[in-house]
Amino acid sequence: MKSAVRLLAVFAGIMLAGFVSQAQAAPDCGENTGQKATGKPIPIGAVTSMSGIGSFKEADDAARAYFDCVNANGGIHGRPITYHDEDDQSQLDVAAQAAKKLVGDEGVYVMIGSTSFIECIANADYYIKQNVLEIGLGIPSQCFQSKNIAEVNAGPRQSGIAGADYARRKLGAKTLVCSIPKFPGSDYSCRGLEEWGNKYGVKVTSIYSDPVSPDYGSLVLQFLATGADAIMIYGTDDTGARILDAAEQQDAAAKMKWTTPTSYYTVRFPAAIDSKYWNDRLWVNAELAPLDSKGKDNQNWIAVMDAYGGKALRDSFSQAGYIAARVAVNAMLTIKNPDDINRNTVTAAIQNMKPYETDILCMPWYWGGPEASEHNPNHVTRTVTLHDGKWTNLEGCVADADPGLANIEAMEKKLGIQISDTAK
Amino acid sequence: MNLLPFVASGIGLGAVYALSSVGLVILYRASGTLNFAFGAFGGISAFLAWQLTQDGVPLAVSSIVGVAVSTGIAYAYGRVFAPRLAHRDRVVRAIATLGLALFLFGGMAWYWGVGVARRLVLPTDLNFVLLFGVRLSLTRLIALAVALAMIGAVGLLLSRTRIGLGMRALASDRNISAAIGVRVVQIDSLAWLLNGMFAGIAGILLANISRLDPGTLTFLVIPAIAAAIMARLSSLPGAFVGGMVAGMIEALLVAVPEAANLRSAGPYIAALIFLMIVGAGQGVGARE
Repeated sequence: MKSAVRLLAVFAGIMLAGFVSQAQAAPDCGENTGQKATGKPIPIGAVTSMSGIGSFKEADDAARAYFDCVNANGGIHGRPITYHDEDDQSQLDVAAQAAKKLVGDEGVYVMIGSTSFIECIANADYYIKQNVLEIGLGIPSQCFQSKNIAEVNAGPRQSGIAGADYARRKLGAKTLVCSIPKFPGSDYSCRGLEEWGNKYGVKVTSIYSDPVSPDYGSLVLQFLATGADAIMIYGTDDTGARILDAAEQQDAAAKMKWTTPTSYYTVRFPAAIDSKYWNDRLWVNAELAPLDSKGKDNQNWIAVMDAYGGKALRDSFSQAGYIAARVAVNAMLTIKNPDDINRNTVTAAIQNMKPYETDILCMPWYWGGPEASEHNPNHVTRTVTLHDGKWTNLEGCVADADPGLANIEAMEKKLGIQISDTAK
Repeated sequence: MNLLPFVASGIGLGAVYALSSVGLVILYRASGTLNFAFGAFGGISAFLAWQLTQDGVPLAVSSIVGVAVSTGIAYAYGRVFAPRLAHRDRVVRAIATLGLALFLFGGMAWYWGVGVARRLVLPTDLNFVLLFGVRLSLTRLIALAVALAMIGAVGLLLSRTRIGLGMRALASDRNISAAIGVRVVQIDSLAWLLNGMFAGIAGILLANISRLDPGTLTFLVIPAIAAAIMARLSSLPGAFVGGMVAGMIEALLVAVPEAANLRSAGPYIAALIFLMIVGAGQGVGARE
């Protein structure tokens, strides 16, 4: 009898342990009720480049996964979120039409996860007129200098300056090339590096390349002809990988230090270049936590993607899309009466939100109040390198050296925002 | 700035453009069709070769399969669809190939994705010779040698064989050739087959030299058309030279800061200038 009781106890213990481990693996989403939301839908939109000069669907996929998880856990006080994302084809007119469709026809309350080369240029003013806010990932200056847009990513200007500043501080670079494909607004990034260079005594030569030309070999020769100590190469990870192939053919890593912004920090990138040649010879800025970080919020992102993300790519863009969606959900949950949730109340809730503490970013993500005229809440980042074919962290969170951040830093001082303890 | 390194750099791309331009001219001379699907044929070849190497198939076998499939698709189009359009206007025939190009592009984008970082590595990539201080990879030299060899082979085919005689007859006058017994459909199909083979090889080389991407490979046809226009869509040596010139111009424009971000337009501007100098009467419409 005793042994039977003991066996029963062991069995119960195993069952309980299984239950606890299952509960731990379940993602944390919204109100976590476990009940499917069935009320009146809350429309949310995104305008993203899914074709053209770049494809960035990962943030949309992560936002959709988080919203699906929230919908399966009570929604926003019972109201489910419907997510509509449109492809801007990397074209200004298509981006404008897509925003009008979403905001005008679909009546979305907020834009979450938009990731595009040009979307902010087309729609920043329109969003102000329509009292719609946008939280996503941006590239041109309008994404960081608009009243109604605040991005989760640091942006190419910040990311490029952070990478270049690493080359100055740690690799001794005194001259640097800023290389970027020519598209509307791309000069914002290299102008930032030129301003940074003026402040820190680094001579910066900007090279604007033809995004359509397949001739990367000549581009590399152009870089080498400058005789610079280092280079910051902007672009997507796929074109960047081909530029690095062309650089390898000229043994260019022996002639200059190669740095990149965060767009190269993807899980697939190490396999897309000759990792042996680039071992410890490529310095990449990382705007978000390592993808395998054990931080609580990063683990929740992984759990959400595992449960609701299907085969969507898990990369930095995906982490950022998750944060954008989570910020929006947290803000909407502060509206007590579900019938009061509409575009105006959602806008007010986000503008007045409490800073969102997350280990995925080096500092809390915040909006800064309804009066904030520009936003760049993520400007403290990390540097990683490729070592033995894997991304390896080189230094922790370092504040960006962009001289153009004075207003943002003043606002943060006023709000009392500092580097997160969890990210230090 | 010393321009010679950029001349050396332009050799590889020029060879791919030359190969493509010659492939286009062969088909245009025989059937009067300007094939906008040439780049997409090349894309299919390159993606298949890459996919098979990912699955563990040796590169040589993968490349042969890739070229064989692109050749097969081109031949099938030439055998099934092209004869049904043979009596339509040249513009209609060209637009039909544009439809095929977009269909194949859509298929590649759907199956393999757009904007995905991947590489088609050839064992000759890191072997090089120094030319004007630039490392010229063996792959680029092979591209040049392949382009020259294939043009030589096609030249022999045209001048020394009955099939070549038939092709030349079709290029001269299609209706009279048919009346005197030239087997038009067979000759057309062979021209499509050669077109697909050239496309398959050019696609693999471009995927290696530049980028394995559906858009990049599909739109390879655009500078190749500019090069073919420089050859007035009729001369094979002219198509080769036009392709090399197009590649060199694209490479050399890097050295001109004001034009560097527009250098993909270089081959067209060169073709326009060429037509203005040579005269529109001897240009594209001259054979109509």
